[in-house]
Amino acid sequence: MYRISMNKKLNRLKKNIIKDKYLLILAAPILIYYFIFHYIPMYGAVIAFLDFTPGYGIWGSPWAGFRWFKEFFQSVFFWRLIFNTLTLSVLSLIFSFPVPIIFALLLNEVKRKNLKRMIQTVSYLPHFISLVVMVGILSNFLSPTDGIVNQILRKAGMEPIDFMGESIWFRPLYIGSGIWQSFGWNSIIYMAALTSIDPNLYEAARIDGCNRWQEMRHITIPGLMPTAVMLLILAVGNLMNVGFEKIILMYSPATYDVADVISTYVYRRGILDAQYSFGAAVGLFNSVVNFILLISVNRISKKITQIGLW
Amino acid sequence: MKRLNVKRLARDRQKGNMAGKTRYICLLLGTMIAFSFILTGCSGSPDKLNGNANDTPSGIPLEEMVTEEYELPIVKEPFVLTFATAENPHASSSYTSNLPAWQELEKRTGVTVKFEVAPSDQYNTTMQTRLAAGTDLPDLIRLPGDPIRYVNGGLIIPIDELIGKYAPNIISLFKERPEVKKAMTAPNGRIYTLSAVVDARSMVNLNGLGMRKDWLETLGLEEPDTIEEWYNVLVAFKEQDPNDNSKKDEIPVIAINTNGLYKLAWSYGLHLYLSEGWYPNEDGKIVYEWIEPRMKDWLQEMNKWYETGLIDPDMNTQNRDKYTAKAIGDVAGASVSDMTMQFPQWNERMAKDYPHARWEGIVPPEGPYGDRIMEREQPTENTHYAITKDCKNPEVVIKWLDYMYASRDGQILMGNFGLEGLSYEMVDGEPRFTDFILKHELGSGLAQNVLGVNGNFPRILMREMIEQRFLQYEGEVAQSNKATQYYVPSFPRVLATKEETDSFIRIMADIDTYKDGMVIKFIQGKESLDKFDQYVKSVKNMGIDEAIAIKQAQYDRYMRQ
Repeated sequence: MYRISMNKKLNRLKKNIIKDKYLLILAAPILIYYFIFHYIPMYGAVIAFLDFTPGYGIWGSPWAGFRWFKEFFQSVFFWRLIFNTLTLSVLSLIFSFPVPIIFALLLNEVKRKNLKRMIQTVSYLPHFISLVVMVGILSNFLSPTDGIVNQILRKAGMEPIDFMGESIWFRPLYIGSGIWQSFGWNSIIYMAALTSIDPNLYEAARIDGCNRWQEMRHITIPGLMPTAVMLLILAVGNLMNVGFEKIILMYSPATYDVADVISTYVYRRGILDAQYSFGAAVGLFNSVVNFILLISVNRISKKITQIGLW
Repeated sequence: MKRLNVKRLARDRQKGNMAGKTRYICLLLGTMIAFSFILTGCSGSPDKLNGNANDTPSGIPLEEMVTEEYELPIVKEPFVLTFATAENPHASSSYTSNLPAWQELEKRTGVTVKFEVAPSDQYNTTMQTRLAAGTDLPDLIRLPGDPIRYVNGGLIIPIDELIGKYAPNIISLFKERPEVKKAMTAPNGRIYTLSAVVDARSMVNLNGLGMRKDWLETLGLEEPDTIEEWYNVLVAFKEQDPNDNSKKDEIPVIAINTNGLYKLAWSYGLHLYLSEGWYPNEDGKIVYEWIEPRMKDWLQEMNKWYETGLIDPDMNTQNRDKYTAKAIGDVAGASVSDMTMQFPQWNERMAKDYPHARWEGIVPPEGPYGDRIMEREQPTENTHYAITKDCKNPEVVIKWLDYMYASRDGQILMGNFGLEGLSYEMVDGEPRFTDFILKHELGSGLAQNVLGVNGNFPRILMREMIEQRFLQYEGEVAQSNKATQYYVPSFPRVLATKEETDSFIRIMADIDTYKDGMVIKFIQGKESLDKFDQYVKSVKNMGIDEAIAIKQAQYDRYMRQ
């Protein structure tokens, strides 16, 4: 009985392969790419459990067990790092996730084609500014001695503020500049989703006497929902990965208490101090947390909205 | 919908998440592990590699070994030496473009150098990765960081016996300057690396303090000699408009980051600037000065300065360009982040717009308890050059190093003066720079680099060279030399064992993060100094005693050698 079903399955597989051979050939390069560049390198994660020494290589270095994980969990900064990482990314998510959606909805209401296109282009230009330049602009504009913002403050009779050196300003600056840089670009996907909404729906609504507000509320927003939820799930899966390049550029010892996150800590210890195994262990921990977050959010979303990644 | 799913899945894998079908991942993991065992077969086992940390020296002291003299050229047949190092400080004259001094060196030694360079600020990261891979290494390499890490893996080979056999000039360097040899000796007593010897510059170009002397004159003030007088002078700079533009735009003290301010801790007997706060007391016991009571006094003073607006508020975030712009923009009164020979160069750049401007070096002030010191640079640079395991002919490389690094002709050619007739002339048997260097539009330092001289390779700086380069600033040199009477040695450079490095980093990574944050907060007044005791307690709880013990062991080892 068992063998028969196995044979059946194999036969079906063979048939399917033959049937879909062109699709498979089309998909092959991508699959091979992911296998070579994203799966094979994963074996390097094993150095998280080794006392990695360059000359001995991965398989010659002695095992260290969970030593690096223990070291990380016992670090006095463990909770601060977790807290900062989560705070920064949750706040970023809360503030920056709705912006492109709102922007896309607003833009959708602009009826003049040229104006619409111009606004869109202007809004996503900041996306192309490199982070280094971005942070350079920030620190020049906000400099307490000659930055334009502080000059205005001074003219208004206020004390200059050391924006880049004060802990309380770090999060607003990080998130605000992030929104400025990315909302236009991120709205593109919503704009695309909007075009896929059936115009007949709007027509029907208008015949039924809907005003534009009601159209948006009952047609446009539900039409955007699947895209929004999926992007949200993906974003949650990346909660533990905050944009560490930007933080490295923005922070200084004066703002470590809010700005130091897991990835910057890994950078300082793993790369600058060349403690590869330690860095790998913390990185692995980070990925596992992300993995768990992603899976659970996907589950929850499937239960509630029936929308999921798989 | 289905198609969209695939896209999403792909995107999410790209971001390093392993979301997807877990079953397949297990299967793939299995394959991968099998695959990596196949890879293992190809790489050599560690035991076969030479240069284990437990090796013992040959027994004969290096200084007494019989060395073979070699003749130039070192090789009869063409010989190519691969050398990985950081790019020339004058980046547009790349080492890879066969610079004049290197051409001359090739002519003399017969050895062709093939460079593998990376920009200085990226060099360590790039080369660390390359060494971590551990194969196909260049013959000679500037190590990214701590040498012992690479000794343990057998990536670099011991060179003491090679030196003993083939390098007479290096031997005589060791005989003349035992402290140089000490700085290059590994904890197991062997030598794996060579470092540039640079302390000649510390008698001419000091890591010191500078002040606008003309501002003092404008305001009718005396040169300040104590911390208190400094404070008063700086307040005057701030309040009395020394640049005479009717605007209160003066920044009394400019700095690139907090490090510069550490020079002001010299007046409290603290060695924070070069020794990073590690220093032996009179009994030879190592003290972590960041948690000493004197530290609190210094922080109190700095906090007072900061609150009064005497210290550059941009300090935390600005780069060198912005800092220099302030220095030559007639708004800065004192500088703590530069070498003294920078000051006359600033004066030249200011000559057109602010002809009265006069930056000058100034001796460190005396502190409230009568302390006045200045940390002196270590004899060697903190970079290490080593021969790797992949070097086919270490004998030739060590002879070549002996010539270019330690012989007098080599020192003149590579480390100091460059090419006779072009960058120097012999006068009474002594090399003298020509105007090519002294009047070069890029300044004398970069002018050397244009030829490939005095850069990122093993070299010994000659005092004559430094003196001649700054000859035009004779007055300034004399001025800075006044400060050298306060010189104390900085904490010696000792090579650490792997265990020491591992524990030290484990403890200090956290302490440094905490300490750096607290120090800047104390200075900027964001944390009250009442919390100093709590800060000391936290540092102790984070295991500073263990770190002190490691430093103590290293210091004792250095003293025994």
